[in-house]
Amino acid sequence: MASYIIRRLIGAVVVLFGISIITFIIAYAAPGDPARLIVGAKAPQSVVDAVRHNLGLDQPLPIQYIHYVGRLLQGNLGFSYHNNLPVTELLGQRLGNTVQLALGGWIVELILGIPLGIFGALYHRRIADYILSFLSLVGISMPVFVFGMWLIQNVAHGLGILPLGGAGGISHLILPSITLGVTGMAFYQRLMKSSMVEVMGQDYIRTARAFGVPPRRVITHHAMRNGLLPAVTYAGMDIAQLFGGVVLTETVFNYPGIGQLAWQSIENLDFPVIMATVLLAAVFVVVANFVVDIVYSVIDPRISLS
Amino acid sequence: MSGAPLLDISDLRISFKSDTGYMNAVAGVSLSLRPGETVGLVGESGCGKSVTSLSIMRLLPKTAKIEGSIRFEGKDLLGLKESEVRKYRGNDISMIFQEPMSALNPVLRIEDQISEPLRMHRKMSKREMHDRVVELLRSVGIPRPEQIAKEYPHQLSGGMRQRVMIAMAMACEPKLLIADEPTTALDVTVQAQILDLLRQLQAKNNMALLLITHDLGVVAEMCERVIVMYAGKVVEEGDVRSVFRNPQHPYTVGLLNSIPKLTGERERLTPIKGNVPSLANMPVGCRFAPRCPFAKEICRTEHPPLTKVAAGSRVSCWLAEEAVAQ
Repeated sequence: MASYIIRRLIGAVVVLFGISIITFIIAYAAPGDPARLIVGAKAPQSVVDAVRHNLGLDQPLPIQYIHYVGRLLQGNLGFSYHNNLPVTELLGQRLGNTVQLALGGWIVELILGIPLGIFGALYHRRIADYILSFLSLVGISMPVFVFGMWLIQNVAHGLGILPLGGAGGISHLILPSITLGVTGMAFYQRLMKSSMVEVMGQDYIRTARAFGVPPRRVITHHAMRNGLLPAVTYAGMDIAQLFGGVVLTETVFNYPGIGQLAWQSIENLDFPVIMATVLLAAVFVVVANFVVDIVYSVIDPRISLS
Repeated sequence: MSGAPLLDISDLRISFKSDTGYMNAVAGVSLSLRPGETVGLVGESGCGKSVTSLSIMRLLPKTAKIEGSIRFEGKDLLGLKESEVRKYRGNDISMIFQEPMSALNPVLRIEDQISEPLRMHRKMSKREMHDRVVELLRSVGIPRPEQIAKEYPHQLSGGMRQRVMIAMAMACEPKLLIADEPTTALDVTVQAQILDLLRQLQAKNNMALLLITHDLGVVAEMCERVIVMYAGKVVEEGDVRSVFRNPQHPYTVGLLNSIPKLTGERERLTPIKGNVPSLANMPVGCRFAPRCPFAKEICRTEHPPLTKVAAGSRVSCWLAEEAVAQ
């Protein structure tokens, strides 16, 4: 177990290192001059050059990268040109918001998707299953901005019961969470359904029935754990992505999270912030993968972590 | 050998719904078992023996249409509600399956699985349940039962898993055990141990055993009576001794000829030519007629009835019918 964790940690460092190089090169290759952006279009060339020198942007790329990594190791993610604030501070302000929203959306997805998947498996190839599959197809195909705006128009504005957007308290989380949940739950529903259909055809399910286990207990006690694995894998990737920033939903609901920050930073070529958000998303993916592996070994005793 | 039968199946017909209509898998099977008796149900794969065994506890999928009657202690199981049949499953009637690997749940501990029938049919405390599980594991010859109870199926060998399966089946001391190819997936030496175990448990509990197999050797060793099935019908039945010594049906003769002999001069095995007919395309007359070397005109047009040819033996064949008539 200990050696497994160490191996995973080394792997994580390598992955993050690679991602930092790639984002750094992409940022460098992107058109636009950060120094010019900071001082404005009318500033004289000498000022632009001075700013460029101060930021270290006149040095060769490898040297810039080494400086970047050096600062990173000290916990310094750089300085946002656009917001005039350290990146760590910017992220700190918004990370909590995004984590709340991500968890909210994720929970709605799970609460809807997993039971509906099990339900679909039980009614496989019957009317209820076809209706459900159609509805989940609608959910999966509906763009976040359409459904989100529809909720804003009809629920927040029309009924006037929930805030139109922004952050601050549970009431602000409800509509964006529902938006995320409804558009994202279909994946869980599909995964859970197909794996439950497969599990319900297994010999050990027949065994359980042959020993007098009633249908409900067959599902909860004998089938569900076996059927959960694909959904767990997806849930891990999903929450990692959500933590990394839900760009569309945050933009639609004007929700001050990482996704909205990333979007604004891309518009303003605010490279230190862009790189920080990408790296943060990568950290979440690595961590989520690790947690998924541990959850796997808890659910299925045949999988061991060594 | 008398008294009321424990299990009495009569004129059992099973068909499966498919895109093109109903496919007939079992066509009028009758058989009965007395308490404590061992009966072998033999035949090739696809002859309907497994379907018959699954139908007893109504374990077939919903697409199956079951007709006829299956009486257990006089009660027709086919007429019962699902919740009432459930009271029999794993309680008075137990079943063990061919693949001990796939028939056990990979994510549940052995103890959880064996205690499941107890939880369903007996009122017991956790403590009593645990003690009973350990006792059951010991009774099926599992070493270190306390420890094995906490393990998962993948940590055990095939033979051990089948013992676990048997322990589970024995949990509520059933009056009837249906064993569907219980040794097919096991090594030969382990096969003998498992058969031995079944015999011991059977004698101890006066339990009837319906043994479904394609292995005539197993039948000879275990059973008092044998029922030979072909393409969804019983072709011959009788006590093992008479059927093996003096088989009447050409199919039974063919089956016996395809077993290698261990004594005497070695001869080439004689296979039965041709294949089992498909469910969609059953012959009109005797279902064995297309493969039968002795088939006559009547065999192709009319199905022979199951008639008594000798003491304790019945056969469904026009040839035997004629022999009796003469």
